[in-house]
Amino acid sequence: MQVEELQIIERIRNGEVNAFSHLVNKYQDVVYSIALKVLKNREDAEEMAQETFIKAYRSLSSFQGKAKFSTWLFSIAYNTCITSVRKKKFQTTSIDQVQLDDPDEEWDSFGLSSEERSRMLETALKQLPEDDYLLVVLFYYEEQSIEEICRITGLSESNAKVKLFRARKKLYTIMNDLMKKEIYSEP
Amino acid sequence: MKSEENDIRLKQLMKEIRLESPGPEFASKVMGAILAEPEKKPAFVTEPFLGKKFWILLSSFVAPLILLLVFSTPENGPGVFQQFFSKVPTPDWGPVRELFSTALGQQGSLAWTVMLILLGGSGLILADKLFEKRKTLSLS
Repeated sequence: MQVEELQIIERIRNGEVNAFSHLVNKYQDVVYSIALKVLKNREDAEEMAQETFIKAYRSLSSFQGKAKFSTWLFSIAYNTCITSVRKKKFQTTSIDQVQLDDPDEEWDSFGLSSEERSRMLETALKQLPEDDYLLVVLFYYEEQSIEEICRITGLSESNAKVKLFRARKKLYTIMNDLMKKEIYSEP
Repeated sequence: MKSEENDIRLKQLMKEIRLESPGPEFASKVMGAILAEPEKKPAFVTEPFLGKKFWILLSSFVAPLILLLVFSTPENGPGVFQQFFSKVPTPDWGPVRELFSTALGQQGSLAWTVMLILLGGSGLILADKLFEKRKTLSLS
């Protein structure tokens, strides 16, 4: 996968600009989701995601291939988000807004169909604060390592681990709440 | 251990979900914006195949070699060079040659060692460049 991306980058460097669309298609959802989570507005998020890809294209000459392309791209997206938030003095959700009921809590998805589980997970992700959302998406969806997440966010390794642990707990708490609501609302 | 199991489980669950997507025209908008600015295409730096370092090392090897060929006498060089110099008539450079021969005589095999090191260094840089070039070509 990494080699395939390096080949695409090499083609772009050799003047085949259209090859960049492969990278846009592959990563547009993740970049857009992060932007949407931060900006909470579809138009702004799309604009910021677009800006991220254009920045990445312009800086492609500085990409040395030491890190994964996705790690490098997400760090551009993250920095673009941060800059945008600072400019707009955006009100971020407090990290403690979601109460952690049980430190050992896990999500019991027993009895749920695959579709129901996916739908519930998507809903829970939307309810996560943006910091937690970013970590969960990068680690669990994009399968970036802790080291790579540190490169993207600038967090220390221990801080990233703690935040990720807390983010997962919050996600399980939200999903369990959603489960309870669904059970009690059933006729 | 439990945490690792949770991680694996959540990664599996995450594979089933779909993230928010931008509009269907998103990719074409991005590509349109990129193609619309031909002047701002990434400025890829073209690095010469043989860098400055190589030429410095090579010239520092070639210069003493030329000096040796011009000024040395058969007795100054080791084995092969002695045979070579005995066959090639050396020009009479007078006091300059005398001075150079004296200096070389005092240095012994040091001059040759330095030259070999420089030659080896140049060779290594050239090999490194060749491997790097081959690696880049195999990716494209």
